[in-house]
Amino acid sequence: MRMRLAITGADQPMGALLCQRLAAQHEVIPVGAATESGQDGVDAASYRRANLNLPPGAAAAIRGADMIVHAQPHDPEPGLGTAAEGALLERISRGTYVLVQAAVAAHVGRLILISQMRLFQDIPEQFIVTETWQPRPRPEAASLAPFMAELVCREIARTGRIEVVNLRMGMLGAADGTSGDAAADAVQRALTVDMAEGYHWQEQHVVSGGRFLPQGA
Amino acid sequence: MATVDGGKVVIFGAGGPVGAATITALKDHYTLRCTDAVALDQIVAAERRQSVTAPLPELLDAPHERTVVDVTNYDQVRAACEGMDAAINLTVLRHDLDKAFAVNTVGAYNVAKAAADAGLRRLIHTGPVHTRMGHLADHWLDHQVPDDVPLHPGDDLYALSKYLGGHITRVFAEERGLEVLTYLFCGFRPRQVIPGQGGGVGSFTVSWEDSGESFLYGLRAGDMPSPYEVFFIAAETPDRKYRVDKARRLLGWQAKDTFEALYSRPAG
Repeated sequence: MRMRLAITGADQPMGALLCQRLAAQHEVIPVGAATESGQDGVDAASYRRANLNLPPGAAAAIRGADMIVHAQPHDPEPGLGTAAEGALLERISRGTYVLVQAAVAAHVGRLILISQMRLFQDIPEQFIVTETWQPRPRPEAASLAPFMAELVCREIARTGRIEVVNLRMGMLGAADGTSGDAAADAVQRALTVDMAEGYHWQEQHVVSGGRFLPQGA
Repeated sequence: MATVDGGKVVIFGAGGPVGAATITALKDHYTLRCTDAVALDQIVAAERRQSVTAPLPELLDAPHERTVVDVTNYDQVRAACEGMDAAINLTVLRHDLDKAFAVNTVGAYNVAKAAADAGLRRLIHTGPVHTRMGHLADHWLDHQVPDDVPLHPGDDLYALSKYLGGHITRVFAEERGLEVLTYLFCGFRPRQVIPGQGGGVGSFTVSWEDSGESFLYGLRAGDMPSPYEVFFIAAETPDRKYRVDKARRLLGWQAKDTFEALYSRPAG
């Protein structure tokens, strides 16, 4: 089924890749913070610049969308200095909160969150890590930021006001990361996946190699 | 040993009513650095009370200090932690989107990071328990809810932004060797019960005075079972909605003010 998808983080690698790959099957609305996407494959004409920290900005960014792919938290850019760390944390936590609230207000039924496999990088290698494990971010803003996005989405999803599929992905193209094909395929499936037993929150790990590859894959 | 029997303690958010009660409880035992986003002198001069019965902070003389610190500014927070033995974070911004995440989430990051960087022995973090969130995953229907129950803040701006700050603080405790006690509060009221006034008390209530004393016990308590421990700070009530025994077991604190007159039938 063809949908209108608002994809955040279109000015960053993961968001841009998803814009490019999903455009063949869907009408894509690229959303980013930068003046222009600056990424290959993102349609400049449909690109929407938005400050997701502000409710009017978030509402305008997703106007007309059937579903939202929130890829911005996958590529947190910490910048330099402690002020930049705080800005990053606020951008991701508040921005995700405002975006999800805007989605609920617009009666968007589902949001696909693109989070980070790095949340598990410090778990000893002998363990088989699955989606049910608690994330273990480092005490650093860039590591905490995608975890903040997950918590915001999970807790709002818990109220039943919106469904969220959380796809944790590795770095694009890295040996232990996530391939572009795998990322796009996972989002495509997440658009229509059945939510288990009435829960409004679901998690999946999307990796193409390395220690987090599911057993038997 | 993370016990802080004496020495210097920095309080963030000292200008609010819990800050006022904490200053009163700690001033004779520690040298305090009382900080707030607004000068304490200004808060007192303008009588900026959170509510009619809420206390104002006492303006202490040296060797205590008072200074303006914006917890959204890491450099200010780090400077305030310098030379301290422990920190207490009472900062909160409830209903303003432009400040809530900055104070409740980023502020928690800045305080935890600065406390760890400065080598403080103990941080007491604070946050809210929302007893009724208006969704099916809250704990409103339950009884004997324990301190360690995972909070489900829903989409409430205040509850959610503080919830994130709690998780950030937990990560610092687990990864940076900082011992953190998180105190959760809900309702507050004055110690004094005036006959004929009142008409009930919520099941998660503490007097301002008891709230302040809980920090004295928290600083003095022995090592905790884990680097991050959560405590309900409330008076025990006979409705058995919330268990408040963990603070008694690990901190040695329990509320002195139990407000029986507000939930008991008058004698005779």
